Amino acid sequence: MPSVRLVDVVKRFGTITAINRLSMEIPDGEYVCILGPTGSGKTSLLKIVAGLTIPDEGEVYINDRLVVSMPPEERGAVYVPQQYALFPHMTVLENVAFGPLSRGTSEDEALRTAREMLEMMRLGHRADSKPDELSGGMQQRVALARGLATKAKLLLLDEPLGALDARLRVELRHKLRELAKESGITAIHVTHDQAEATAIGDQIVVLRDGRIRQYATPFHVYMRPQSLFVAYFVGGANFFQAMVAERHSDGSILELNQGLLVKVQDNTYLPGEEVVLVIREDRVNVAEPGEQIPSELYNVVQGEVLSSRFLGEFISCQIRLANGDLLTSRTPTSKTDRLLPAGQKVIAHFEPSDTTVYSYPPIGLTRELRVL
Amino acid sequence: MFGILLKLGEMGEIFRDPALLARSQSAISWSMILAFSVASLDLLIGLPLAWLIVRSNPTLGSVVDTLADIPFMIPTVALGFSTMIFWGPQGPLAPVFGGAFLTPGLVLVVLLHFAFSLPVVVRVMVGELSGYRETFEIAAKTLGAEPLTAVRTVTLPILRPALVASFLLSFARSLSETGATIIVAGTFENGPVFIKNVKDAGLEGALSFASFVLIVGSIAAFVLIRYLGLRLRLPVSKVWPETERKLSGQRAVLARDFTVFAVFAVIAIAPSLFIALPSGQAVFDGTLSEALSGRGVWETYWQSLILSYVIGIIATVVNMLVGMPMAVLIARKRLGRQRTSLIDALVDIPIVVPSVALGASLAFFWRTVGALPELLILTISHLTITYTYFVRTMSASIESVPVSLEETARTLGARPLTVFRRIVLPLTKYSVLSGAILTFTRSVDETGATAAVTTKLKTAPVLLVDWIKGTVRVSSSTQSLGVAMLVMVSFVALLVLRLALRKKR
Repeated sequence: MPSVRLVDVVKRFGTITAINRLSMEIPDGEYVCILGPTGSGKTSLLKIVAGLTIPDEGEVYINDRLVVSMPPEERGAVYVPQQYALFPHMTVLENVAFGPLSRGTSEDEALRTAREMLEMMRLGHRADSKPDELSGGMQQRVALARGLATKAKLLLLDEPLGALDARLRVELRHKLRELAKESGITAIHVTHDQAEATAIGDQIVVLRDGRIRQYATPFHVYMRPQSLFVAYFVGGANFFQAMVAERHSDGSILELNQGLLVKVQDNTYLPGEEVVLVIREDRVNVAEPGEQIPSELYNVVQGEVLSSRFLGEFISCQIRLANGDLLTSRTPTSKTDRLLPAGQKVIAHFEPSDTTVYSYPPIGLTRELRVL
Repeated sequence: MFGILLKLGEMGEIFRDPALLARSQSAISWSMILAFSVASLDLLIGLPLAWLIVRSNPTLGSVVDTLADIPFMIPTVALGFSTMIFWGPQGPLAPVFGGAFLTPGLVLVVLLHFAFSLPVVVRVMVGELSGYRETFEIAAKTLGAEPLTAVRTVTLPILRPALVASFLLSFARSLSETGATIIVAGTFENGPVFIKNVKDAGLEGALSFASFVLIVGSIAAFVLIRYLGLRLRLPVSKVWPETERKLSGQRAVLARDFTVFAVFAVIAIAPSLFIALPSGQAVFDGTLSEALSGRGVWETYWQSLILSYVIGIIATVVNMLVGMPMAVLIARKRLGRQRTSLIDALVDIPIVVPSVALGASLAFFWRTVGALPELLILTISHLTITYTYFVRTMSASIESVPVSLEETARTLGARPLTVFRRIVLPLTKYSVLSGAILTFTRSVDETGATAAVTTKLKTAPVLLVDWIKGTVRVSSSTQSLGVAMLVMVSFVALLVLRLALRKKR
């Protein structure tokens, strides 16, 4: 049963540092999703664990055994690349039997294992097909069967659902997790889709520029993003530049554009400090004038609707606040079915406990949130 | 290459003989002019022809496609002979013009070089055009460009690397060809013919001088063309809507297709196939039975043919063994990007350099290294000359196998050698075959280097040149039959190749 540990791993390609002094530990049997934008080092990280890329510095342990100089075929870590890399000249069955055969299993034994795996994936009837005769979803299952047939307990999945159409992606999410859990496998799953990572992972590693930005459960990554970037990448939040005006024992008052004051729960910053205020879109409430609002409410701001869109489960509404800032709200369709017309005067309000505050990034907000 | 440097001292000889020096300079200049004009002509006709093959109706396309390979299938010596008699006093055009339409000389050399280098351009451009995504062109047309404008400003610039590559290949073929050129040259001399002539006259100084200049010159020309070809600015921002619309019209296109096809048929195909006629006569006038009995000149013919095939087989097998690791090295950039591109360029040298000059260089080099038997030197020189073909074919093919397949196979537990045997080799087996056949036919076909290396041994093409040039006196039907039998074997080899490749599709 494998655990994976990386210590101070560095990998450079020319002048680019793909992995920048990265350390992490994945306990045995865990399903970990590596989440990050393009070029964040996700695939490099996976290939380093697989032994396909040799790190310039640092150590890699599988099951507490140092494996840096161990060739990929001895690591017992199966790599499943983005397009599955099914061998085009072999049948489905031959593909699945390739692993056991390469590890020296007798042909009968290897073919039997391969058949079992295909049955398990409900692909027994396609054993004699060539990979290119299968649909994308079937190919993905063949790739998994091929990996599992090796009896390897560490699965390295590079965007395993990326090549499938949107519906199938969502359907296969929990199947993938179920399969890994049933087979007692440790899985590292690379994706750039935060919804996918949230749905599948026990833990999520948010990666950027070859460094870990947060390593936590999906709940924590979503609700308590450790940095501005994580908050932005996970999606669905509003960002405002602000300055701390007052600091109290139970929170602070921030001053936004044109002197708009907002009360937040955070009180770690000193008065005068430049900060960024983050409010999740689904925590913004919108009321029409004349609607009753409890008088003890904090953070009540006048605004005007710019546009509103129906998104299925939500209605998204873009509002220009009285101070000129833009605010987006996201209201479940179960609460409202009204699309507010553009120009409609509204009142936006939110709780101090639903805000997060980060210190203003020295490189500027736009550059900090850049994903490419 | 070192061989030439060893002879640097002797090169001085030529400077004491101004007439010889002038002759060599003119020959080398003609080589360059010839190669450049022939390559330009090839592009002019080959590109529209490739267009015809890829874009017109599929049946017509595949017929022209097959025809286009014919000059390529025939050994150049045979092509030279065939071209000579086609345009000569016994040719089909002679009655019309009351005598030989063309006698050996510059014009015939141009026609010959055009014929044997055209297939290269057609082959490369057909490959490129069928892989080219037409969406770019369609996008240009929906933006309002006339068909010709779209092709000129969008398609051709995108295909520029392929255009430059095919230009360079036909340039190299023209620069290098020796055997056939000697046959049709008459008193005209280009570099390879000059080298052959001075070698026969025993002028070693002139030989090494000309070889040296030719090698250096051809590499320089290559680098220059590649550099300028990829960087020269094309007039893509100018558009002449009226003119280009007229030229895109149906009548203009029809006229273009007709002209291109006519030139192709008359200059490349007809002379290539003409050999069948006199050799057909040879079957009936008793020359065939004479040949099969192996008496007289035929004894040496069969010996030469066997020698050619033995060397061809050795060169093929050895190059497969030596070339495969190199192909992997290049395709997978095992030595890092920069060193790989350096090796990549070095691998091309044997086809860039005229084979007769290369042969001279190799002979000097290996004779200095030790008193090696002539057969060994001959085999080694064929190895060198054909080296590029197998490596190029394989490295391109291996490059097309996604690295992720190999990587995945490794993580599934396969050793590197197992991965090569079970994944890479099965996926590239057609290229192994085509690389091997290309190497073999190239070796059997080679005249220039063989002539430069040997003094006693003669391979089949060298012997045939002697027969045709009258160094060895034989009847004309003997010449025809000798050439035809060499052609037969090449045909069979290339037929096997085509069938094998067709199965792949």
